[in-house]
Amino acid sequence: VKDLPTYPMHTKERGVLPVGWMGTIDIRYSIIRKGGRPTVTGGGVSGDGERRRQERLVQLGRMTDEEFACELESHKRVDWTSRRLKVHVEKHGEQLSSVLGVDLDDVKLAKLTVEILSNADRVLTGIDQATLQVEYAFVRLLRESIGLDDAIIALARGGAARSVFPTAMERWLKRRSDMVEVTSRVQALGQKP
Amino acid sequence: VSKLLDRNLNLYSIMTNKLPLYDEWMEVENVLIWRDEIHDELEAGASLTDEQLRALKDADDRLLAQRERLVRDFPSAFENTESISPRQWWWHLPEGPDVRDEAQQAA
Repeated sequence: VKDLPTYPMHTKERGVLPVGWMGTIDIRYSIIRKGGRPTVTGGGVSGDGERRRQERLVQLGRMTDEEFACELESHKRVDWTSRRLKVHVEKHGEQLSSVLGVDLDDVKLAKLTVEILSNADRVLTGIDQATLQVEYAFVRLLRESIGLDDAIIALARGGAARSVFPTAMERWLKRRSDMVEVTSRVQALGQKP
Repeated sequence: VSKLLDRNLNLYSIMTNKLPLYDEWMEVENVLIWRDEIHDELEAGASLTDEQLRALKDADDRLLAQRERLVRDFPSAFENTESISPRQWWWHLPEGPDVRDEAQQAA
């Protein structure tokens, strides 16, 4: 899908997507709160994960802000191929619809991807365990309280959108401790988030 | 039955239905993350109706049916899981096809 318009954030309120970002359909966010503390799901970093994290930290440390901004932008501008987009709707459309409360087709999924890439609440980057390529995870929180929220993650790697899926953010972060959060650096560039 | 548990069970059911289509290891890992959400709710005292218990078993069956492919094609999803309780058998699929039964017997 090419030439998709961007959907600028009209509000800074967390958990609320801009009205009209998906046409005339309003998104209904889950407001169910979790209780208690989650069980441990392999928190911490394996030896390989720690090596990849350290390698990524070195890469990021060596980058000038301009180089980082360039790399970030290249991952924010990734796109779906038509085939992968249709497959992704088949894979995750029902799941995303359940969380967002709206039916998703390929056009809406493409818009959702653009929205998350453009207006992420948090950005993480790492070296993908399977391909060893640089990967960015753009996170859009779905509820107001940070840390216990559901979120939607858009993965970008190798010049392409790889996946968009809802997750339980706290657990996901524990599993992804091999990644480096770069939200502050993105903000320092004057960009969202 | 809590709304959260009902929602999470529905999501897990959807994901295990679509599991044969997944081609990213993080997608596979995310299924296991949602299974943990259900596990925690049950551990915290939430209960399921008979219908929901059947739905959970069916979804677990679908996960186990994909075990060989998941372990072979997405080993990254199962790394760094040594510290996870054997009761959360879904993280330990590489240990064999009987991992669920063994966890239930141990419990």
